[in-house]
Amino acid sequence: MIDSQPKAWYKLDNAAKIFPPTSSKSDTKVFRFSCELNDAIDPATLQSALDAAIDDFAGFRCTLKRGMFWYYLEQSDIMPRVHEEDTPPCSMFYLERKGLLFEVTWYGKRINVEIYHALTDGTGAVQFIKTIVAHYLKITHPETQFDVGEIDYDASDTQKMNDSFNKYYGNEPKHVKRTKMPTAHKLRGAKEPEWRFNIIEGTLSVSNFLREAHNLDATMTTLVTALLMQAIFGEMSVRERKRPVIITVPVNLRNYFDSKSNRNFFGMMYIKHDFNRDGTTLTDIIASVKACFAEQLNPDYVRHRMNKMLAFEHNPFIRIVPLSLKNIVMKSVYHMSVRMVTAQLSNIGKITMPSEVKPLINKFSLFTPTERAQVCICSYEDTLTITFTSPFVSKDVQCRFFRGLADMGLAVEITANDLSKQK
Amino acid sequence: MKSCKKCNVSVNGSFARCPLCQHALTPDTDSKTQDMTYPFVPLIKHKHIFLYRMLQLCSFAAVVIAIAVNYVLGGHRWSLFAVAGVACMWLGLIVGVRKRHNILKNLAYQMNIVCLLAVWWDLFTGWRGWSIDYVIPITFMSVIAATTILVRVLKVQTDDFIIYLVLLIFYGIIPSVFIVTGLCTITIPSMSCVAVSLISLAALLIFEGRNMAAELRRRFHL
Repeated sequence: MIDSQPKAWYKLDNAAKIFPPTSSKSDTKVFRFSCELNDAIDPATLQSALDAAIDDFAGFRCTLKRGMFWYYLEQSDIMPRVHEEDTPPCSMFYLERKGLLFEVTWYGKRINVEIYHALTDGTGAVQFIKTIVAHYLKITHPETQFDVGEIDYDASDTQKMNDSFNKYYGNEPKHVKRTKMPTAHKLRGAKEPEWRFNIIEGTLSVSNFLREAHNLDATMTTLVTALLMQAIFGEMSVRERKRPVIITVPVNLRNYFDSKSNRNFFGMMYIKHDFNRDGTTLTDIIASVKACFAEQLNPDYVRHRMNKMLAFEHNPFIRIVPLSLKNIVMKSVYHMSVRMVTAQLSNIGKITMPSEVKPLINKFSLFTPTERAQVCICSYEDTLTITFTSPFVSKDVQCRFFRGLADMGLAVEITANDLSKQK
Repeated sequence: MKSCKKCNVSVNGSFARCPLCQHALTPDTDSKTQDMTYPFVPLIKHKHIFLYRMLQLCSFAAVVIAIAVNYVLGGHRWSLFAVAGVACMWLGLIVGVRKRHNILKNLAYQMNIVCLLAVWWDLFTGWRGWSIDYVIPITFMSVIAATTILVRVLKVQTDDFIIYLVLLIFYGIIPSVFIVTGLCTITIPSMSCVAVSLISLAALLIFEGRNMAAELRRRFHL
């Protein structure tokens, strides 16, 4: 009998540590990236593409395990299998089947990659879906001349699984003033049954949208944030206006620290606007959003926030607390912190593919379930997809939001899921 | 593609009404029916929910009837046993259902419950020591045996069962304390339990020593 080799394992990175204790059926912490091609997906080819892609992402073949003090990721022998989408999006597949932390499905012309946030963030996920799509197109269109390897950035397996938080922890900058966030306005209303959520995706032209944004002296993210705030304001009662609307926006820390990690490496910004004090017009909102961005995108501020987050995990007294107690603490800290959040917005930015396969891809999109409201943005070529997810039955905020875009003279194409038949 | 005149947007899929404002959509002239973008997934029908609710009602009825009959007839307060019995059954059932995805974990949890409840029952029925003499060592031994058989039958991966086996062996050595302190009067079950545990520990160390050390390092990393 030959001894089996002990398996490789990884500590959860700092941002990932909060996800297992706070995941629930209403907020599964799973996000989905989709890529819509021109033709219907062939499952066997998709499986071959996934088999090829997983070689480049060996670290993603992991299961989540519970230790005495922390959760951790353990290398697994399970081979991922593709299957047709047959469950509500972003379910808790990782818990129910003791399986891998990601799932690749297909439906019609669409390839979906669903990933549990403890494994990676949007940047890692984009790399993964791009690699799968490239392998898929390479098989279905053998005439295209491109190297799949050029999609992935030049990094070794260990660099990809590196915990960049740990690498850059320390070196606290001086004189960083941090504004404490007040309790935010909270969206309320009847929710869809069984933790289902409404997905409304608007597709529009990147160039037209950017032109409108520049006219208002705003960037893409600032304008969408401002429009979301305005849509939320439209549904607020006068009494609710005493609380500010706060939108959280993740910051990709790879822009500040050199990292080729495919694990989580992001921070959070809190974008605040008080409608009673700061005005109610779109120009007023854009001004506050821009001020918040300017303040919180400052490198010193980013480092300060990151250190603050890491101090928790590095505290020796916290480290020796058993996991079950830690979970209670982390849950309560999380519930306190979400009181400062009205909605979330996440801009993954531009997704690029080799020019040979560009005509074969229609669009990329992403979304994630939430207990509040969530807007996810990504762009591919001239196609901008803005996806609005919400657990509420009422779609009034979404209606105001997308009408806001249409009112700027932009052609918006709506794609949505239909929960009305499912009751 | 259809469009909504109120929202001024075009709408993909076979919607009859606008997904934003629920206003009726205007079809285009060249309109062909489009498929929905997301699959239809019906709401989950819980198959066992009726059985579960019946069990809840029956338990409640049993408790109420026992107390009522006991009160009317008077005498010894035997209805307390009925209530405690029902409570114990529910405790085992709830843990069993919640841990159903991991049979080894379930077994370990159930073992704890059985042992704790046995000691508790023994205490409240006038300490005769049967829980420590028989129940605890025999339960520990059976669970060690059951786990060893289950990992073979279910072909559980080494890394997935080591931690449970280590835990069970650690438990299995506890009855030695009963013998040394003279807490148990009948020593055969306790002695057998300790012997079985020590042999299992040796087997584990000899065959899976390296994996065991690696697993403990992972599980206990700070």
